[in-house]
Amino acid sequence: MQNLWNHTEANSCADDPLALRVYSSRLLGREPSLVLHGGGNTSVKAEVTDLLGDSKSVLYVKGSGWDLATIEAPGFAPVCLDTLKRMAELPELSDPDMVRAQRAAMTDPYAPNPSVEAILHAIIPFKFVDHTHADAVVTLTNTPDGEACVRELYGERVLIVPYTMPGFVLAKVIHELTRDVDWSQLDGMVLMNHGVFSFADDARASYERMIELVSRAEAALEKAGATVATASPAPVEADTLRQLAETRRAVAQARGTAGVVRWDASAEGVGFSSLPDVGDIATRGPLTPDHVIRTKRVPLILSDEPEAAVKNYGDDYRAYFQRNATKNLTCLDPAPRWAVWPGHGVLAFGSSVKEADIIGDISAHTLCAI
Amino acid sequence: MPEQDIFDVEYWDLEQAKLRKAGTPATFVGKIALVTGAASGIGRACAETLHAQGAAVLALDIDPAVEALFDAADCVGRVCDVTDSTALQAAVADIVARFGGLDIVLSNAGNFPSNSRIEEMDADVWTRSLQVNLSSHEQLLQASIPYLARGIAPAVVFMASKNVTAPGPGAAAYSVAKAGLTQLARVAALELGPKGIRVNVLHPDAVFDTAIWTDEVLENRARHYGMSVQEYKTKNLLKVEINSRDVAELACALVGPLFAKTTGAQIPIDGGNDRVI
Repeated sequence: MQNLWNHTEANSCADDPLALRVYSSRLLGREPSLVLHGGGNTSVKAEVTDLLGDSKSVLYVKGSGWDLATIEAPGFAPVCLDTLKRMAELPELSDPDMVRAQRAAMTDPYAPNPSVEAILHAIIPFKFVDHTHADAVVTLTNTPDGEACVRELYGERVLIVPYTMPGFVLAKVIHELTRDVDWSQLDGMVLMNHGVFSFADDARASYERMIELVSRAEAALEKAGATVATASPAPVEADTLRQLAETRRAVAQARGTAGVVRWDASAEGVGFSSLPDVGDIATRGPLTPDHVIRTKRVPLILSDEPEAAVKNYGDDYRAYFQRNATKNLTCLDPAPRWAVWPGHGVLAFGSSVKEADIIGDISAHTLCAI
Repeated sequence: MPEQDIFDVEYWDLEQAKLRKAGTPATFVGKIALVTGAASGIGRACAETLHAQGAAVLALDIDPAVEALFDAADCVGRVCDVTDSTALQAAVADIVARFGGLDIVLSNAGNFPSNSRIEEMDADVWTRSLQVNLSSHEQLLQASIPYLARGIAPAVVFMASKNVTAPGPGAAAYSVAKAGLTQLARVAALELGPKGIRVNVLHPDAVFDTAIWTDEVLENRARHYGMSVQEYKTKNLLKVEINSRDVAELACALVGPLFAKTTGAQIPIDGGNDRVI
């Protein structure tokens, strides 16, 4: 992975920590294999003086609804650092209560909601903290002996954190794990099935550590001979298009709203859809659990009978809900968000072209990783 | 990863709260619409209005300017001569491959041949008007039916004219083609009703913000009637000026939920015309 750091651009930020934070966040955001559509988050710790002349330590952390690729200074929420650190000491906290408390601790009431990882950023004792969902690192952690692979690759300079749900629980787990850790001996953290953190007191050092950690994972995958299947698409015939329209209608009926389909008939999309074991390998779960919100757990595997395939998918989804719902939850719509269309490519379903394109980007990264 | 871990993220309080906050979507969100004659006038207004209300739109026109008119992944201009049936079929295939289907067809492309009385009319004027104002619409409908039949609340609007019910001298080629178009729509409503496809007709009149009506033509017509341009523009019962945007809003209503139970209807949008009434 290329190091995009540019001295001239970085120097124009002078000593303004927030300007530097914006600059290096955008560098990360420019690389889709690091963060996709609002994924990942970054922060910087700084001293601010308020209207009354009082000085305060704050964590500027990426705000909800902002994308690292396009983030600006107002996209970072300033939260009282001490409050966040003390929240990490609480024995338990629900995520809605955490969001409320973080919002109440902001020094600017008009800033966006701080990232749900704000507490985690606060307890890392470095000025700059960078967090991405790098495809290469996540792919390594998703392999059967993922933890051993990561350990072998990075040695002791990277802390490995077992998979934990993002939010308060994750911050708490890492807080406990690192009580006796000498942070100065660490270059970063790998969160199994989730992503990677780098940190330093210098913006450039933190950014460059991220690039280095990810580059090493990329090299390891390449050495292991990971390749992407490709194939050329079949000519589009009227029958194919009718089947596409039938699939769309069946998905819309299952979802309860109209929607569009974006069809990936690229060499990679068709190659993946033509793999003999695609029905098995495509349904092993998302690249990172974060994606489930947009993509659902598994794609639809299409057959020549789209309506029946969508109905079966819905039955399976309801069964999955019944198996796992532990409290008073309402089942979401049982419609798939993407589909593998054997021999034809990959479909992404959205209520708008924008949503479908986001899902298409995620599925394209997922099938490369598979 | 264990299924339960993935489920916990999918049903996370914070994500569920976000979903609950999402408001009511716009009327045409998720719908897929094809508009012809979309580089200017009524067609362009229809494409813009459908897109503004959430539809994914493919906008066709013979004028290459259509390609640069819309700057969005979900509103795309494509050059198409509607009198070329191969090009029409390719455009229909394009919208299905691009967005996944077809729900709405606003069959609007048309031209207004130069005025000529029957005894003096060039054979070409007659033939060309029938091609553009009648046959191309039949071919577009034919190419669209397999996909409309697999669409979501599918609907078609044909843009006819006041001339159907109140023709004028010198406009035989235009009036006959638009009358044929109206009859096509009536038969289509009968044939396609059982498939759930609605077909309706608009009869606009005196929409002056279109390519046909240059300032010069307007001034000449006004002088002919001994009126000012403003008086000429509003010479209807309600004394209102009708513009492309008004027609587009009505066309969108016709393909939307408001008219979900109406097919085979003809609606004038002309400010009120005593000859039509």
